[in-house]
Amino acid sequence: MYWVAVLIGFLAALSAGGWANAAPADPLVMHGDREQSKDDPTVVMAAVALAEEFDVPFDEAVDRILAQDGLFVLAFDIEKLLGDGFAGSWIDHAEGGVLKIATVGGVKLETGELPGLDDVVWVDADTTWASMRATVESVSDQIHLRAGESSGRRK
Amino acid sequence: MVVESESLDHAKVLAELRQLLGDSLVEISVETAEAPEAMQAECVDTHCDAPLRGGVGIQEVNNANIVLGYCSAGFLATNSFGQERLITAGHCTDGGNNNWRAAQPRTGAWHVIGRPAAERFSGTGDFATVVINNVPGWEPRGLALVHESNGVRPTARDERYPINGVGTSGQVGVGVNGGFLCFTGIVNVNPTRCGRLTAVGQSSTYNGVTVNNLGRVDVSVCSGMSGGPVYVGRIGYGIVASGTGGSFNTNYDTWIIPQRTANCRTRMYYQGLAQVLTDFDLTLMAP
Repeated sequence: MYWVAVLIGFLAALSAGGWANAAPADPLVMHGDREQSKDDPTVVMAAVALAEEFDVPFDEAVDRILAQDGLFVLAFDIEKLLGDGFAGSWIDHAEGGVLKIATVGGVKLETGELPGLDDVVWVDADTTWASMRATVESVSDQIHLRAGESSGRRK
Repeated sequence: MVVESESLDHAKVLAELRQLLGDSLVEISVETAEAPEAMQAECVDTHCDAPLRGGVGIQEVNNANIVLGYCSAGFLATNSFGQERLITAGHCTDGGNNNWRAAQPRTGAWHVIGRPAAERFSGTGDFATVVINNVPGWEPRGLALVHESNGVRPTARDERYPINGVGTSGQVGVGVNGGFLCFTGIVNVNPTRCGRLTAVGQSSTYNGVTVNNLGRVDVSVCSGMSGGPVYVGRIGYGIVASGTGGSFNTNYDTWIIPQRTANCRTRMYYQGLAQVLTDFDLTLMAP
């Protein structure tokens, strides 16, 4: 009976969206404005890295860094709404810095369900994000087991 | 005539003025003013006086004050009981109960922060909190040390860079591929570095443990930078967990850590901050 309860609990956790440690409830406390400044040293440093890697003008890179947190929020909200249909998200700097959302089964959100959806590019995928993640971990575990303990303790 | 002095001993200053000016000193009024915060801050290399902030080097010592290792301070937070905690990497504390210290340029010495309060170093995360024994002395705040950068767009050092909050987490709590993030750590060769988030939901095995749900940033990271804050635009996203990719050594020294060699890797893994706050029921401290 105990193991039945354990199994039910495990299955319930899976159906609830996977890992207990995945995306936590939001919002978390903010101590100031979420607005970011073009003069912020980390924004400038990040923009320099972006501009060099993707060969875009510096001012354009700054704008993309300033828009980044908003895209993170949007991707997070889309992921929650899509559930199992979600297959991944990324900001494509090779295509103007647009947010791309991969989904399985042609699932999409309708414009108006969330602010900012107009600019999202939808991409079809074969595998859900949860499935890919499980595969990655499985492979990682197998590699670790076969390779043995990594040598040395580092901090 | 206006005389400016940093001394708080007004009587002594006035006595010196009287001795200097004699009878010509006819009227005295004393006005006190605090210097701007940025002027008060005191950081040398990757070590700062109070307030305790993210990005500074921290050192583990045993009861005999033997140095066991170095990591970096991540973020400052309070728990559900209102107790102040320093967030760093779980593999830094790694099951130990040793003291962690940070160096203060003002005194030229290491000072105890406290012992580990909570820790996770397993498949479900790599993070820990450290007790802050002397809160009035350390004055912990939600700040980070951002170092200057050179190159085509040089930036100035910001010793009191505010961390206003935590990034809303996509996918496994670390952000979205393509984002650009920065981090700061103890190794004072380009101690603040920025790069692109190239993978989320990653697993990394180090110190014999496979940690899942990590983000990967394509920028080099060195031993000792573990636990350091990952952030950009005043938003915190994570703490440095491990490195991967090509291995190389970096020699560095700070005023209190002379001639040290760090092992570095070309890519950095980090633990999502939102998960740390949620799982340990923490709230980031105000700047």
